[in-house]
Amino acid sequence: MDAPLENRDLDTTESGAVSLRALVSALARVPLWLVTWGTLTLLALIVALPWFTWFEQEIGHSYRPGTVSAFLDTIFRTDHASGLDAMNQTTAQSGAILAFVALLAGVFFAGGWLQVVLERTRRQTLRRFLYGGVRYFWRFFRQLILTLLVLALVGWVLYESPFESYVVGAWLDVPEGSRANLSTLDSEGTVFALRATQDVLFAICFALILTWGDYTRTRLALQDTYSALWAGILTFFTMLRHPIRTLRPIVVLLLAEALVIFLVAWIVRWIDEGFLPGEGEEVAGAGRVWLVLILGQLVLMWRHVIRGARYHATVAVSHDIVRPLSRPDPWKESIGGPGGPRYPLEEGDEYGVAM
Amino acid sequence: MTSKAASLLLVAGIFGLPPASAQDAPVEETVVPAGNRVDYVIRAHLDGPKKRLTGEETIRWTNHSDTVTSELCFHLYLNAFSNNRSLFSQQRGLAHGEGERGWQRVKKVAVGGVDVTESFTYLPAEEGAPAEDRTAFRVTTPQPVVPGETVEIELDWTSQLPFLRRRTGYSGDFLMVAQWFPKLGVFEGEKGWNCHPFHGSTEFFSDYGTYQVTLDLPDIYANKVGGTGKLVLSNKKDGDRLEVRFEAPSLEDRQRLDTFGKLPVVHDFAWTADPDFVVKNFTFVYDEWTAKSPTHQAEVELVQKVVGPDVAIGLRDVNVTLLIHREHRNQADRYFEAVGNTLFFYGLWFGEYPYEHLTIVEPGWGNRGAGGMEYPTLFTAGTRLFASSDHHRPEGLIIHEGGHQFWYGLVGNNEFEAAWLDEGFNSFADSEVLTRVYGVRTRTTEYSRVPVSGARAASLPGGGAFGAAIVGRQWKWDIETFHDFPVLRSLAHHTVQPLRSSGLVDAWRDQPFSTLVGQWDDPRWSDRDTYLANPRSGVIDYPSLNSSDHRSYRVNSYQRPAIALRTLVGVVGREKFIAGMRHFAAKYRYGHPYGQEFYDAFNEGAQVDVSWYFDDAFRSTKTIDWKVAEVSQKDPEEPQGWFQGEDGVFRKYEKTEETPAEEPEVAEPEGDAETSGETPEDEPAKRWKIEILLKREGELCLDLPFRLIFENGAQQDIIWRREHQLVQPWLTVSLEDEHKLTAVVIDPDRKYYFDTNMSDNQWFAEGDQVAPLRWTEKVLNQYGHLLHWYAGIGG
Repeated sequence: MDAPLENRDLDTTESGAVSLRALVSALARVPLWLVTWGTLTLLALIVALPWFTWFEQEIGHSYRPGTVSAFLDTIFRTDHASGLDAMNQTTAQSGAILAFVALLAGVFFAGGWLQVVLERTRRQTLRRFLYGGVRYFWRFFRQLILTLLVLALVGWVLYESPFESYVVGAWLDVPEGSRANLSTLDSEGTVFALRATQDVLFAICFALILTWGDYTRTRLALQDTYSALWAGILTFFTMLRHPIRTLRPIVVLLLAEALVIFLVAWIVRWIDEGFLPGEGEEVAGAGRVWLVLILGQLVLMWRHVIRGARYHATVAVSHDIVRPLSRPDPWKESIGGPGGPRYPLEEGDEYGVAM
Repeated sequence: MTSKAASLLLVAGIFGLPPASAQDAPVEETVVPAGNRVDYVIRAHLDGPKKRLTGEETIRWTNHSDTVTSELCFHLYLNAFSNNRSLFSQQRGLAHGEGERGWQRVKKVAVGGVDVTESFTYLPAEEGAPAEDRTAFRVTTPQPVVPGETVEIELDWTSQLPFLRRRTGYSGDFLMVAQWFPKLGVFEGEKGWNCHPFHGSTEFFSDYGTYQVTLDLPDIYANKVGGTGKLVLSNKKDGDRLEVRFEAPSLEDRQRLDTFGKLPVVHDFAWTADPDFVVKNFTFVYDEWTAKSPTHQAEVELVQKVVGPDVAIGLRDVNVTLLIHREHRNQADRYFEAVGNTLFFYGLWFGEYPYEHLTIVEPGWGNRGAGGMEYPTLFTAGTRLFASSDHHRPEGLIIHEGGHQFWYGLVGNNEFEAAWLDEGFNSFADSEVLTRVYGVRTRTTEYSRVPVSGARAASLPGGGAFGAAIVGRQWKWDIETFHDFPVLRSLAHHTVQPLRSSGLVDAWRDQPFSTLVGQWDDPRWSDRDTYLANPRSGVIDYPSLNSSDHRSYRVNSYQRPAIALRTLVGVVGREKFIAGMRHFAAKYRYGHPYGQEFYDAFNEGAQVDVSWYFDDAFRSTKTIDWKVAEVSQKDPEEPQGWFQGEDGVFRKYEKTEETPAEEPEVAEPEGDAETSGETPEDEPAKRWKIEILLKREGELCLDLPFRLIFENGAQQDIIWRREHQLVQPWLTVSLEDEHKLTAVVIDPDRKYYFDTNMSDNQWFAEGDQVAPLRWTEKVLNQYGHLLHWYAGIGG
């Protein structure tokens, strides 16, 4: 095992800069986020490349260069409706399989990140990352099932019978037959507020559940235990006791992620406008597409860095607030440690030195 | 003469020349009898809690046909909502639950003072209609009504308003009261009474005349009532009642000749009331709208050219009252802008809106069932909180329903049998206005009911139950054996949705600002999109009520006639088109035209004969797909071998440096074979041998323009004539030119909307290398974010 060389400051939250340290540490682990980004990009390419082939075939010599680059107009979408439908259907089907693979990849990446972060590995990180992915995979897979079930439960509470009966039915007095479309309410504002409340609550719960998942995985790895359910319950109470300490770094990282996404999106939109040439302007070339593509991928890389930073942060926080696991100590009644003499000798024992 | 010029002459000789520009054609304002005359005087009392109207009406009906009749037929539309055995319910499903149903009962009918209630019989069911339908009835007159005679009919009735669905009824205190009184059908002379039961798809048909309607209402509706025509009285009565009276058209309107020299009348009466209405007013003034933009000005100039310099163009001022729900009142100006544009453009094209008043109803969220419907001088629209004019919402709906004031309101076609004459014409015209004023429509993707501009580059992961299951969107099971065990019964079938769709979470998953791609729709081409989804579902000029299904009715009443008219613009030119349409609108204002009347009036007004087009486009399911099948450009090969001259002698061609390849000069024969050559003064330019093959598939042939574009920028327009297409479905164009072709474009101005596939209408020498890369990048980026989100769920 590589020597634990990582800065010990990461273990403490006293500085209040856990997020920043986590971000810097994750950013420094270039091979890891390159691998996670590369893996998912390869998966995305499986979906995207057939579109290239399709467009190449359909556009051929039938369109003036530049006329279908900016947007696909009504005529194009009508003429190619069946082709587009078929492509979208294929994309949806293959996308579903790839999304499932991405779920599993996420499970694997989590193990990898935690292995590296907990070991504070500096060299051969990729090897340890892969080892961690394999080592924790089934534990984290069980944790994924648990996450999905909790999400289903929260969704059921917020969108199905409990909410519909008690809020929509009992409180807003909407008859049962009109609860889906809320047609008996006389204000669209009320409808919007109601649905937005549900969505906001669900989004908050969603974010909390994913954060809970991160801390649960961290606990599983930190304590090297196997029960995702038990770890999940304990993590829930830990988060309940330390809401600020556990959530603050995650929220900061979320904001950092969103900030970059929106900033680059704004730049990309500005570049994209170049695909709509004005009168007499030159048609945008492939260089502009490559520029947009590179910017898009840089954002995705940033998101993968943030993903790693979350584990750096959860480990740092968990080191402080998660008690070390109490295990049976075989040497508790003895004097001395393994390899040395044991005192006191029990009756019948002969004096000796363990070799 | 160059070979290109020679080819042009050849092509022109075979296929004719482009049509000359449209000539100014004075509009012929022919006045035709406007059907029968019918004047209503109605008094009705509303029982507020029961939402029940008790009324009495007096109808003065004049038989303007040349046929005697001994019966009178009426509609009782509200009975469509009384049970599940009405024709309407059979066709559209029962909309109303217990306690929500509507019905009508006639208590007394008298004709000329003679009680004829005893002769009351429901009209026998039409073919395919249930016998229990009670939406039309007839009575026998005491004396036959001869042509030109006027009879007075009195009816006492009760109407129970249904809960608001299908555009009529109540919802709380909101009232949208339409088709609410016994309404006389249309007597069509030898064809008899046109009085169909209420059909699921089609709408209404009635004669023109005047209405005086007095309503006795609860006083909660004070100052919150709107109706057809003009409100002339609004008095609080003793207790908690309110009396309102409408005259439709207004008494002033009845005295004022419109621009076509006719006195305004209306053919229906509807009213609305809601204590929650916010009332806004606006006056449409023609001069203000003329000066609004160069587009508006250009349209005035065009129409002036069409009607000729002697006809002064102008539209009357119109007072518009908007009854809008309070939470949408900040959109009132957009309502006025849209309706102003409707009055302006429709008025220019089809003649002015002749009434002094127009009422718009924005029914609000809970009353959406009333939205999007037209009545004379009143229409309902609808909007949403985050509606934007970029999305044509609510502008598209306002212009469409406002446009019905012209097509339905002023030209009163039979909506049972020829719905396309209003829906199709209006769909055509509303898209023209939308495009001129608001441009293309921005597509949106909604998150938590908030529209975000743009559309997803590709579909989300999914694809059936399996796809939904593996991405955690929906786990669904139905285990039969569990039913046998009481403990497990509740788990026998269930649905669990771990990663359900939810606005904000979806937004974080999709990253709309990073991944949505701009997408815009031209409303004119959207009509084609809908048409092509089912291009052979039926013909346009066919009784609407006999459509095979609702979808066929919609396509052939709305989108297909719209693109047929738009293509007609391409066939005859805009000026002639406007002349034809304007003439039709003038001739049948306050009348009841059918398809043939439209064709004849159009030909007459446009001074063309495009009956063949009407036959092909409106009375058949013919389709068309033109294509550029092949383009080849060759450097002509050098002549090689032995060539036989006119003298029958073979000579071997041999090129010398001085010999122009294209025009070999041949020397006098000296024996059986000779070699010849000549040295020109200048080096000849290289010439390309170009061959283009165009093909048509389908039978809807039209004069087809196509354009050749050369690499030096020169353009050459050619027309493939309809007559030639009819005998030969392909065309080969051969020419030689110093410059290569860069493009061949069929229908370069995109005048023909019927083409079933326009992707093969162009050929460009240079392919588009950027577009495939760009759209692949968009999908890659979208799925990059999506898969990152899924990976985040996993860990």
